[in-house]
Amino acid sequence: MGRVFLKHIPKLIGFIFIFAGCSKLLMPGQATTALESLDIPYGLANAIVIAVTILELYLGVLLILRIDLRYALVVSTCLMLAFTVYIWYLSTLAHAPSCGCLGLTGIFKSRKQEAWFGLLRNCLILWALKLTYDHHFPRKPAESLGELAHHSTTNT
Amino acid sequence: MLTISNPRSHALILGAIIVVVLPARVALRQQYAAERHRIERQGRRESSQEMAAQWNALRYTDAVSENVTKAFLAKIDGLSLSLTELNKARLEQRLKEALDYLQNPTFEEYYRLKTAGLRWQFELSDRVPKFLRRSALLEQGTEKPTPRELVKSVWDAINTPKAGVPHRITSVCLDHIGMETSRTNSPHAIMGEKASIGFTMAREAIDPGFQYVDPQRSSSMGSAPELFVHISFFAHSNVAVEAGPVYLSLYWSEPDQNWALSRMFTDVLLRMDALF
Repeated sequence: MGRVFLKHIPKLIGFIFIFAGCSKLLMPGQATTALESLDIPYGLANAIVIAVTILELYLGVLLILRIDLRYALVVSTCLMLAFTVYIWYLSTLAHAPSCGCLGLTGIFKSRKQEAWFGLLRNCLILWALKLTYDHHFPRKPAESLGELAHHSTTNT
Repeated sequence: MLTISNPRSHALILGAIIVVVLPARVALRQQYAAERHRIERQGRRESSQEMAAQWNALRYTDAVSENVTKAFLAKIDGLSLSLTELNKARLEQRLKEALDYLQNPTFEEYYRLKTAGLRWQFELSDRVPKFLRRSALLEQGTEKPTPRELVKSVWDAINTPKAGVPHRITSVCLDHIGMETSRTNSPHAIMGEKASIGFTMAREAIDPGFQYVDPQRSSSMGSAPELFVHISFFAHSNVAVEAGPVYLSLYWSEPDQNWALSRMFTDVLLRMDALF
């Protein structure tokens, strides 16, 4: 059961990325406004949203089609980490704007709630990405640092 | 080491996505603009609600109470305003009259406040004709209405749609009263300087067109600069649930040695249409 789940996680995260990308393509307002609230000029905020939209769709396709899965998982993890730090920063603001990540803006009573939900969601995705990476690309015992250190000491 | 096994397939995917995304962004520009307007509207509404909640939580005293006037007068004494004793004495009196008028506005009191003991001219303000168009005065084709008749018609035009009940202040917060002097009565000087207590959107009370004349000022360049005093406080009105800030500005008329009503701004949350 766990193995089947781990096998399909890339596809699931891929669909999440595609959904987020499509949502930003159709309704980029919240994401742009959130960046503008951090004093980023409108033009630059718009460019960042376009770039993120393209990146999300690109990673979504890679994960769903399992093209260069290792590369896709690593880049996805980096992107999710960046999103997590961003949402965490937004959540610390007195008047936290909506991040506009998944177009779920209407379901929360407050922006703080939305930010905290975003943080929790991103942490779960990061955890799932790590599990998937470990499942698909298990470390060989000799690759671990402990092993290497052990070898080096016994050789001398 | 991260490697891409087939860079061409990555380029193809990226290219296809860019070909879809960029034209879609151009095609959806109108939809984006509408969404942006919606977000801005929502943001303004949320911000207004948040501010209104803070203002509503303040302590308010019934405006009819003597305490209101006393609190204002105490504030004048407590502040190191650059006012002479005569300025202060007259200000206390004028402020009391202005507050009485705002609590219980009548045409007679308004006209008296704007004219009694002051040298004034009257020229119908640009903001007035839309009210006058509906008034009977112009329909009757009166040749040269007096200022009093014009002001009365403006008063009636404002108050008739509200079943003749003038908008008034019902209670005042005595904990946050701001006051300062200034050389101008610009909106920024009144609402954006030391007396500022914030606002969501300001609405200016109508001045039908009173102008106060200082012959010395108009004839000599070396005359003393103009003096205004700006007062701010939170209040409730009889036509709105929410509380909001009120800004009054009074002008020192040197030849008359008295204060004249200059401008009043209220927050739109108070929904007040008034003459000042």
